[in-house]
Amino acid sequence: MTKHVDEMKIVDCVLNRLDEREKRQVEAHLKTCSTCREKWGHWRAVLAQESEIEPSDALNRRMTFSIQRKVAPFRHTRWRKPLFVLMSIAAFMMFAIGLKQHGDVWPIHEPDMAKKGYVIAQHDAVPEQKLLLEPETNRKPVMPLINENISGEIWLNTETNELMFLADGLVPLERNDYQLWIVHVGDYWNGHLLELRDGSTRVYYKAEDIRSLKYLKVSVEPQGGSLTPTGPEIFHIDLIEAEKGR
Amino acid sequence: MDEKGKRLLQAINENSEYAFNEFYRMYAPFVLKIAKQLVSDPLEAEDICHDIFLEVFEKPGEYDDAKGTVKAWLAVKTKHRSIDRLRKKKPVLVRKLEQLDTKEAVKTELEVLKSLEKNVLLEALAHLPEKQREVIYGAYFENKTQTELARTLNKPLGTIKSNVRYGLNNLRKYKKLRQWFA
Repeated sequence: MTKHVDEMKIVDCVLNRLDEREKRQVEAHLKTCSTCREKWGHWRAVLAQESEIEPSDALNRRMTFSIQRKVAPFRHTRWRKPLFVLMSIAAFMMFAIGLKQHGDVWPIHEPDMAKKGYVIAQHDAVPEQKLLLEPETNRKPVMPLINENISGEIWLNTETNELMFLADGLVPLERNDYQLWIVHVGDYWNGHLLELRDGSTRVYYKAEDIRSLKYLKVSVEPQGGSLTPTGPEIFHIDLIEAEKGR
Repeated sequence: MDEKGKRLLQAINENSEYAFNEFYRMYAPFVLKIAKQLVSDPLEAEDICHDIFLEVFEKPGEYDDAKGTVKAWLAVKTKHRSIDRLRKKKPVLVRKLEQLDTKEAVKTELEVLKSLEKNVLLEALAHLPEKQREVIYGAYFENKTQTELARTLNKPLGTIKSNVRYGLNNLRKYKKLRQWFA
């Protein structure tokens, strides 16, 4: 009895991906084997349709989150309640005062928050707030995934439901943008392009329940941003793990 | 394209999420096309596509380039998973069968239908209107409708129909159906 041709070879035959020698062998076999011939006919019918189908946004999102669940979360560093906080408070106060003096501090738009469920602001738009002064605020340094020259930290206050993400050393990109992804426990997300100033980014985020956040990540995306993360990741900050590690 | 696919699989094996995204972007439309063709249901097809790529991410080393191209590997994987889905979800199978309303349509699906356990197929067929069931059943056994079977076998159509009905209800005897007709 002739041994059947592996189905992958049959598919490659239909896709015209075999070299001449293999093609001749498979075609010769098909003439004598009705089982393989039926398979060949089946694949020819299935693959005859020219157009391929683009996955929906819903599938893309689901795929991304399934993969995220599989990849190892970021390296652990414990939250510090810190001496560092005291030092940073001064820096932040100077920053806030500086902004106020320039008159370009944006207030938090509560109606906007009611509509979207969160407020996000960057750089000059970061509202004057007490996040860094609050005793409940915790700071955590975060490690970049691909470039040691980049540094980052996150400030999180689960009482006031506020968060601040700061990073330095980001290289401006000519044809791409950095995009921040704020991912919630329910597996939905908000994506925001990061505004760079001298390689730094400052992002403020306030939500109705900050504990509903699962992780933040920053990835390199095509200019103007993507609907779903596609590029290499710079940061991946697991907020659930971070909370546990407090 | 296939060389790129192989390189991406190697990178996925080294836990590169970026490589996976690229691999997914390259091949998801191909996988979706096959899955949709096989299960005739866009949502189920997306579900299958999701499962396939998750499996690729977890076990990229399963690909053996000696057996064929990356596309062929994904195609066969998609077929197996689609058949599995039809086997496990009767409503999906019934919906698929409902769309097989011509002999030609059934013929192109015979490979899939034959991969299903006969009792699964017969149970699903029992949910279809009789006329359609007749088309599929006839095509399945001899690519003939019951009317053609009656003419070929020189038997009354009523006899053929009752035999078919009996065959549908009697799973153990389906193999002998053709012998009853003869």
